[in-house]
Amino acid sequence: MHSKGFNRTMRIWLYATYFILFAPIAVIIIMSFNKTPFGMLPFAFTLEWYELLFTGEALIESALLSLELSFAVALSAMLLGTAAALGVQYLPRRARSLFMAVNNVPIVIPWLVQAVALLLIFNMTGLGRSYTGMYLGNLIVVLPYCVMMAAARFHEADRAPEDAARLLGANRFKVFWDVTLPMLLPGVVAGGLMAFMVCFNAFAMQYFLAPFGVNTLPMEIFTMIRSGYKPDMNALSALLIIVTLAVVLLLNKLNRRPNALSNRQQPS
Amino acid sequence: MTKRICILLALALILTSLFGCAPAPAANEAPGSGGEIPTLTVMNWKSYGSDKDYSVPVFEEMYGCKVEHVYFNSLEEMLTMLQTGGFGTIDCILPNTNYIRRCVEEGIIQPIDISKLENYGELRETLRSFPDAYDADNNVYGVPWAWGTTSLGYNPTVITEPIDSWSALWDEKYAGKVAYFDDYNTAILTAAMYLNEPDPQNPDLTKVEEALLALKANAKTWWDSYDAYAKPYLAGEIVIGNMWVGSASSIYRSGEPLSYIYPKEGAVGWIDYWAIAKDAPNYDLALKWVDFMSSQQFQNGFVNDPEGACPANEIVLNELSDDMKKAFFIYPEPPDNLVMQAYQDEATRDAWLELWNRVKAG
Amino acid sequence: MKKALPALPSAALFLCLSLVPLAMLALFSFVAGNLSPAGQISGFTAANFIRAFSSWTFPRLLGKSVLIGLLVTAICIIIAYPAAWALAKVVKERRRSLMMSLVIVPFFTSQLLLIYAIMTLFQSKGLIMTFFGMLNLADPATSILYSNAAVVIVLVYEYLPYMILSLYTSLEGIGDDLLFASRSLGAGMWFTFRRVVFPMSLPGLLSGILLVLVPVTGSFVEPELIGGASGMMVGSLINSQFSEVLNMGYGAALSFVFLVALAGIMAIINRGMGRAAGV
Repeated sequence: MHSKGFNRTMRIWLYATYFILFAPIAVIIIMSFNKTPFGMLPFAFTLEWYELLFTGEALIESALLSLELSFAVALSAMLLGTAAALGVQYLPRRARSLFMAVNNVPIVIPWLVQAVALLLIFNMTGLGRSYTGMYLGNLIVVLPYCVMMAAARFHEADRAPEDAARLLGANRFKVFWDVTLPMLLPGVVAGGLMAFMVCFNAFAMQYFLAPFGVNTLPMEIFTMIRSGYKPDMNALSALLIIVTLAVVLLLNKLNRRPNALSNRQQPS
Repeated sequence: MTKRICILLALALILTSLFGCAPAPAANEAPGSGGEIPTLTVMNWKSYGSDKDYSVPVFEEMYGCKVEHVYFNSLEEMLTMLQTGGFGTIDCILPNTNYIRRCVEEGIIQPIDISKLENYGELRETLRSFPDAYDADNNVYGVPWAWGTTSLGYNPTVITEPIDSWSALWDEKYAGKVAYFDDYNTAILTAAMYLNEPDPQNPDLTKVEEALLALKANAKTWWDSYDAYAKPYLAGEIVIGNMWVGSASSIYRSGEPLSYIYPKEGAVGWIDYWAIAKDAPNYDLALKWVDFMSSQQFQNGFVNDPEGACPANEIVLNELSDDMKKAFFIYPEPPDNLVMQAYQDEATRDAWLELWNRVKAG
Repeated sequence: MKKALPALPSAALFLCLSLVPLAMLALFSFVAGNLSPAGQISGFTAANFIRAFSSWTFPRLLGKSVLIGLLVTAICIIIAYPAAWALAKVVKERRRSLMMSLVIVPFFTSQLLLIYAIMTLFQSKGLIMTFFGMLNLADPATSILYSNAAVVIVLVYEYLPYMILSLYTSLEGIGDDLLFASRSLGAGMWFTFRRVVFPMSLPGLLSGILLVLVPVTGSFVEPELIGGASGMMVGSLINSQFSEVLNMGYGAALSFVFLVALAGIMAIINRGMGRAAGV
């Protein structure tokens, strides 16, 4: 599976996939500079949507709130999910499958139903519509993603290195930090990314659980379409995407240390 | 191991509680937290007059208060939100002719003291007298704010022959070019008018279902928002359909070709009302809001807003230029055979929705 | 058992916030009519379930939605498997986290806007139709929007990242030494895939299937926006019981049957995949 031609095909396939994923983004960015709404031709360059975006603060405010919420939720879900995946493997087989089945429940229940049910529960406990409630509601629907991704790593990962490290006298914390965690990392990161993506778009959960008068980005957009969304949404999206891309690239650059071991690894 | 658990647990708990207790982003201070400045909480569709710069800042300035908007996507969701924790927080809501009687009967809204409203008398008489806004003791529960129709719109550059009947939607010539409103109430009322049913509110449902199934063969899409209509219309994928007068107005005002007519069989009409919710925390302020919403000052701003609607204030209506009246498609005034979206009991609602779902799924 | 303690916080959360709603869903599905505004229940009945199956509407929509769900999931697997392989095994290690994050970058905007952007690409006289028109493959004034095919395209787009990330998680864990061993023992590419790669990617593949199949089958925004006159899926039916009329009992019963059906399908897939991998 390591022949050159095969790898090249796979790589091209990957880039083609990225091309598909980013094509609509390109459309949004182009439309954010287009005077005619609805992406119609003829294209006439304008910056008025960006002006509109910065004169009305509602969109930017809700975008920031959505980013904060998603970040907090994704981070907590990563921590809790990794811990759960660590712990659950020591459970007896039956208890483990029960846990994993329960884990899937929030994915399977329609969110609308789950949101209304949670709201009823929160009202009963006196929490009501609140930031805490919204945080918990979003957390519960993204947590399964993190548990699942981390657990998928455990299922297959070779446990020998951990035993070896332990035999060599490493304490538990060191074993965890140096051996277990790096092994889990791809799953943890994938779970965190998914959690972020889901939370950033979880309209139903936020619609029913957010405090009255507070709007997240999906709420702004979904309530906007009755009268028609204006292209300042495109401007906002373009900015969000560009800032995100910049952050991702910057983090990657900071990560690249000069003597990284990975220099060794050539595509073979 | 135990140590690690503790650390993780503690971290998670700290995170939870931190976020839970963290103050809201500065601009969203919890309602009423200040104490001195009252906060009025109103529910409305987004970008529908009441949250514009000619409304909220003006009202806040006039009465030294803050106005908080809660947006909904459908009137049913407005009621659900109200009933799941909205009472005691929400002051004003915006039911239409379809919902207002239901709100009265379920005790969701409270009577409005019209003697305290300065502008009530300026509102158009025919809108005020719609019976569903009153209870048996003649208390007023809803103040008309905006009104309009859901009628037939088409692209005059594509359809050059004269059209005066709903049957155009069933015409095979326009197969695959028709859009129809995805709302069980309007869908059935419109089909009933097409069938010339004597009472469109109470039609022969078997015939309606057949008619709607026949329409489905012609229809390209079911729309349920301005975007869902405007996008395919402007791209030329649809040329005819029933539409909100508001959507027609927006498209017409943007300079695109569009004809919006009232078919001879009649058209669907509606009124949006301001109402005051049960247990509204600021009843007096809510009265002021309702009054402000009916005032000439606000309604003049409303008609000049490209997303605005046809105003209920008679004086503002009469002062409209002919061009503006044309833009609202009230020049000449809509005919008398409008069928108002009206109150339905739970069983009828259920039956109508089920019929409409059967048509869409069939 | 002490070692299992880290799972406790999550278990507690699931218990309070996930099993309780599930129980409430089950309870509501037997409620006659609606909850009164005060939250009182007027009585219990099986009528909601009988109603669900008394006409063809629900079973037909459920069947159609499951088919679309399976189709979208299959297409996602076909696109994502090679992409995830390249991500895990071909791309340089130091670039992997960057490439992984790029998968979700498009979703840093609203899904609704992405759908609109895809519609702009596909609409009549849009970029793609003009291109097909130039190749004489189609009339540029037509489009595939407002059809079930359009729904499938948009859903594949939206759920592809989940499949890529799930598969990546598992594929990344396959040691190069294992692949090398398989090859040096004379195994062909197909054999290595069948006996090494596929079984080891199974956990990721199964979670990917769950994460794609379930939401896709229950989707309602996409079919309503671009599915056209016959685009309705079961999610719309369930949703309309909550957002057009409030009929909690019937809505809950529909959700409940939907949930059971999905659980059954997932069980069959788990079993079949497990057998195919020889586990």
